[in-house]
Amino acid sequence: MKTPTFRDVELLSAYLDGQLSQADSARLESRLKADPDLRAVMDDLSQSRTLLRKLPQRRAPRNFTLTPKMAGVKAPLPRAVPALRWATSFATFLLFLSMAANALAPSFAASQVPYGIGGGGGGDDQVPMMEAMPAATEAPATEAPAFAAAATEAPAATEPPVLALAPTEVPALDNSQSMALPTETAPDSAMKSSTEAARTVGPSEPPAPEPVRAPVPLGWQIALLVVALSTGGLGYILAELANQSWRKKMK
Amino acid sequence: MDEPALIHDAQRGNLDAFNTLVLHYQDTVFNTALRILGDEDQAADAAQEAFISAFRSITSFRGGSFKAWLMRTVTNACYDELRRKKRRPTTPLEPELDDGDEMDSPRWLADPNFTPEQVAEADEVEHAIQHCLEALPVEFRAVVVLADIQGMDYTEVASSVRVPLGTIKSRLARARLRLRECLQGFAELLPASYRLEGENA
Repeated sequence: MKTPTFRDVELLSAYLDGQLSQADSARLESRLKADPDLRAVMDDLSQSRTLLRKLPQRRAPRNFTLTPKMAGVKAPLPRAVPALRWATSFATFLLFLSMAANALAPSFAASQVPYGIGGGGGGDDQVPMMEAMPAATEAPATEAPAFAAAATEAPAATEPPVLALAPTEVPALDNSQSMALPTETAPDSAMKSSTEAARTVGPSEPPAPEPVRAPVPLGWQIALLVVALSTGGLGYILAELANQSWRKKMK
Repeated sequence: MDEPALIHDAQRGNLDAFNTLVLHYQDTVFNTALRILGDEDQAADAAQEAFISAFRSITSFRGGSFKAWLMRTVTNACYDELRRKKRRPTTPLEPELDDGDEMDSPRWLADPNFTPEQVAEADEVEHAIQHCLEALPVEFRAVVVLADIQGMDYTEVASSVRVPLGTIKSRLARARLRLRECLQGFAELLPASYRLEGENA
């Protein structure tokens, strides 16, 4: 007789559940007759098992049936719906794009004028300076009217003296830079720009300021809006109809 | 109930078929969760989660015991619930008996320092058993709940908790032994028939 080991406990537990082979069961039964300690362990296990099996079964406090939402089930959509949704998104995107383009167009047109005037205002950018600065230093007499004329296109063109002064100041700051650079093409480009400037000055009548035209006409925007609304609405109606008929079917 | 046909329909997305299975198994599922978690509200949440998860993954059921497959989702939902419940990163030295938050401490035996009030609280056999169940580590608790409370065979339990058959035998033996030791602390609460020596299965 010896103290039951955990192996014995495992055998006894499996024996209670009828999980031992006939031979193992017979061997264990003969040991149980001879060993009161083993019987005591057997009784302990058996009592635990009996207690657990007699625990009352509680009823579920509510039904756990799933709703379509809980199950994550969605109504099958008609094939047209995804295409309509795509069309809505695309039309909306284009509409916003056109609105953005129209809103940015005037400021874009305006920003082109000072760039054409100065080049010198560019600061760090050396390429426009190389072209513009010699023009300003070598031909200040022709430059000044040129800037004045070009400035009539810009909204802030009412003060020609200021604009005329600007190029003479900028070269003073950047002369050393432009001198240090090996610029063989500089005189050519300077000549070109000054002659071009002279050409623009040539006509005695100042060019009339042109109103900036919106790149996307209003008609197109309205059409895009109509497309977005109609495809969106149609897609919504089709999806809702499919949902309703599906819900009826689920009931 | 034609279970195979309902499972087949549920696998094709038929929610009605699945809900018929839910109604059939909901008491079993709830009881399993209740015995593992020890709290009715949490057990109801875990049962609901288990059914949702079961419906979403029912296509992965490839035959065999549907109950065992369902019990796997329940035990997983219970483990998730226990993980959520466990706020503290370390195991406390003493189980918190008031809120039952830390009942799966490594302490196996019934606490010998039970106050009379605490003993009086466990004035029913069911409460005593539930207390002792909750003193078991959750892996052992799940095995003993499935085998002894739900009456599943070893193969089904092994399939439900995804451990080898040998491990099931070992866990079950150890859990029964520890439960008996724990329940001795409630000896006076147990009905006389349970205290008879030499009771056979």
